[in-house]
Amino acid sequence: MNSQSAIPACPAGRRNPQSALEKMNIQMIISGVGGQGVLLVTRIISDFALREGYPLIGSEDHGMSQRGGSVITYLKIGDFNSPLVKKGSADLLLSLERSEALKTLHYLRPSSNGQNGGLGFINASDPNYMNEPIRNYLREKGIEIHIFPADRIAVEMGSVQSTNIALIGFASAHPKFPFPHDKLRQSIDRVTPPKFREVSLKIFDKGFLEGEKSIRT
Amino acid sequence: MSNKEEKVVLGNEAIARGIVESGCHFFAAYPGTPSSEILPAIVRFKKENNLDIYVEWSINEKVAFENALVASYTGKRTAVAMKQVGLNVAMDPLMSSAYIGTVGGFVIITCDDPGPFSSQTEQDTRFMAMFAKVPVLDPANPREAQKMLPIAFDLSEKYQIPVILRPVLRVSHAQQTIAFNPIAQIERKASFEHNPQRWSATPRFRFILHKQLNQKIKNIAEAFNSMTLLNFVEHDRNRASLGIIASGIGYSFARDVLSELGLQGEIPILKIGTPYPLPVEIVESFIGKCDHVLILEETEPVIELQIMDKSKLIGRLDGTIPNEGEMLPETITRIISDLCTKFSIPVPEVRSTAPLEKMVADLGLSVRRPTLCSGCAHRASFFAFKRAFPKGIFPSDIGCYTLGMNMESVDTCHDMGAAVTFASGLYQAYHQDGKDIPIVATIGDSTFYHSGAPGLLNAVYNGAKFILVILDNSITAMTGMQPTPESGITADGHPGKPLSIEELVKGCGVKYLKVVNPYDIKGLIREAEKAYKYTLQKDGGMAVIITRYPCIINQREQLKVNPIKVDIRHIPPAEKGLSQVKSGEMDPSLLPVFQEDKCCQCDTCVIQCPVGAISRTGDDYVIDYSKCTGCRVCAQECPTSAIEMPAVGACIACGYCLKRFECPSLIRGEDGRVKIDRLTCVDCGLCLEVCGQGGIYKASS
Repeated sequence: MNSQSAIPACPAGRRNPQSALEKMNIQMIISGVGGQGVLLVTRIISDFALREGYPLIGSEDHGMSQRGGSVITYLKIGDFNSPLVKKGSADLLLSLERSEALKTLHYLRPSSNGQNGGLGFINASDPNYMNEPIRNYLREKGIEIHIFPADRIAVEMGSVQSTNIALIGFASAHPKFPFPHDKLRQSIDRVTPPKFREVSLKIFDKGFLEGEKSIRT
Repeated sequence: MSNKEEKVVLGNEAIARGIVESGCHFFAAYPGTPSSEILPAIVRFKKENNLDIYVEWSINEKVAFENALVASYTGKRTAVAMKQVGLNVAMDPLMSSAYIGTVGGFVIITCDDPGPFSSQTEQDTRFMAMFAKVPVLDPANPREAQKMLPIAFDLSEKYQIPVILRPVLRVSHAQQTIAFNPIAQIERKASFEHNPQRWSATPRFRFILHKQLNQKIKNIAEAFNSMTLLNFVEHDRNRASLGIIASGIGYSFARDVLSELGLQGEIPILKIGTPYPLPVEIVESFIGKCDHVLILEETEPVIELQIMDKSKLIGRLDGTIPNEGEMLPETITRIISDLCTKFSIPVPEVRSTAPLEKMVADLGLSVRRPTLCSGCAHRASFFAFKRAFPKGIFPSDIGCYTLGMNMESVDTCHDMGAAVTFASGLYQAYHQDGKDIPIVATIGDSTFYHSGAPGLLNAVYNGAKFILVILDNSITAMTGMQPTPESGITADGHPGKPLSIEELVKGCGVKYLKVVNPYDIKGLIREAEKAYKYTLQKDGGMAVIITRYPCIINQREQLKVNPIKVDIRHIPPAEKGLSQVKSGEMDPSLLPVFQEDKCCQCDTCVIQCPVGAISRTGDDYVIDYSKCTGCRVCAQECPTSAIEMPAVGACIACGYCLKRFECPSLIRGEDGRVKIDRLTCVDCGLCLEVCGQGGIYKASS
């Protein structure tokens, strides 16, 4: 962890007005494949939570699964005791790989009224890659999914390793995304290795612009 | 909260913090998932705070345990960390240390791996503690693990007994916000008091020590009854139709599940931090107030078995909680919800995710298995040895290289060091019948130091003859790049004495030793064949090959010195005059054809064919064209060139490279043919040696 000092008090009125941040209780899943930078996303969000004074607990994969296998991270921000997210309880899913996204989709919270289910952001080139029955099911359960070619943006911007950053940039343009864009940007600035810092921030901003375009229209 | 410094840390870092906050003077460990991050974090705290704490990566867990234990005899506070199967290796000193006891506080941190995710077994260290008769603390989360450590040290000092802290993977690899407490500075100068009756007690005195140990455990159980920081009731009430006794991670899950179901006030929880010895009084008093009691503990029914009257208990013994695998929040939710319905406690409906899971399962997505990294030198070694001995037996060991099983080059993986002993046992079993077959044992450098050498001594002494390959990447890679003795770098980075594997091998009495660069695949195959010949000689013996190349993840720059960019041709080059080959179809003109007059009947083709398409009937060889994939291995390996088969010079989608080389950067395209995944390819050039059709070629830069 890079953060050095005690938690700064959260400056009032600086929060994204559209997100219900005041009492944060967020359960989320980050999924992908070993080597894609799932752990960096985890670190960025952990840094954000620490800075803002929200208690955090979560769980990471280490060891064997780092060698190219499926990787899943659980994060819970707020009043929680255990590090795992129950199936059907996640408010948020960030997935860096299309198949791993499908495999972790069931963590998202279904709603009973078709509104305000979980929210998912997936890195994939084909926005219609999920089949009809799955898309219908998600719609019925009020689960909102956004598919975005984050890897293409990252490659275009010259850093394929930053697919993860492009995806969270994109997600941060969503009005219901719980973490404010500017705070997340500060966390990226603190957490990414110096070599990738400048390009990471550029890619984050680019992802955000793309998100604003496609989510609002 | 106070204005103490807070950080989000890994469970193992919280444990490290708890260790230094307790004023620990001496720490030893051997890496193993999920325990490996404890020692590096201690080193970090040592450097940041200028602490005088001795830290070592030991050769193995038994060695680590004994070093730390005896340091406690001098009055210092000491600790040792390992994974749960590591405690098996250290079981010998653990059993005895319970009798002999400690002087300075001595804490054993053993990380369990329910699941299991990275281990051979799901064993529960709390049972080991019970077996050895030492107290064990079971933390519910990183924050509690940190808090339990000073208590563990105090307990160990007060009762002069080793104390185990048992985090499970979901504690060790959880992340949580914790507060950093001040670091205790406890002055202890080493002072060993001669007391042969204790330190080298004979069996007669051991009987007395055992009696004392039993008394200690009784006293500790008594004390645990009143330690409300470790054992306490939440939402206590005089009467409850359902109560929960929860230990460790079971408590964390219980709290979150009850809160999600809105049942916190309905169902009281007795939180147990000390599963052994069990604080019987508070347990019995809690059970007395409940009609039914659900027990949530990971992984075995340790608490459940210690409760005499089991009439109210629901848990693992009656099969309510699954007896294998990790306890998951969805399982606990279902169990609690079912029990509530049964005992007429109102409970909200739990929404099922099964329909979505089924829809995804029906897609038949491939399970992504872990593989050796692109550019890993182990891949080259495994490819070469399998090519040299297609019908050999390949005992292997614990480490990244266990993944050689994906390449059909690992037959066994049992416990640390078993590659060598399994190979010698296999040799003796076959040799007894007068049959000598190629046996190639593979073991990593760190594992060889850990417990490979005694097996080699034994093999040489008892006359076993096989090939031992030491895959030397000069680091403990799987667990996160800890240094090995070969590097001469110690745990906190100061220089130690570098050891030589060659000297160690020679010291074990081995006369045949070769050091080979595995990146030279052809050379390695030649050396493998030479080594096998040596083992067959009358005056031959054990043959050891060290394949030495640095871990590519640790030393990426190695490949930047001389990158070899490869490409895969999908259309035969013009000069071949062949038509384009479609995937899954072999043009008849490309199939292998026997030239009987040239055949020397050596069976090489039968042995080498990776799909078993060639068989022998009498003096004839028959190729089953319906099985042949066209890999050309037979044509390449035939010593008399008796198999005619043109090389296409392009990928024909035979899949040989995918099966036997299994590089994550070689992937099947949508047309079935193999292509290079440029995102992961590290330009190692190793696959140039693999394709029998000449489809993989060196691209000009």
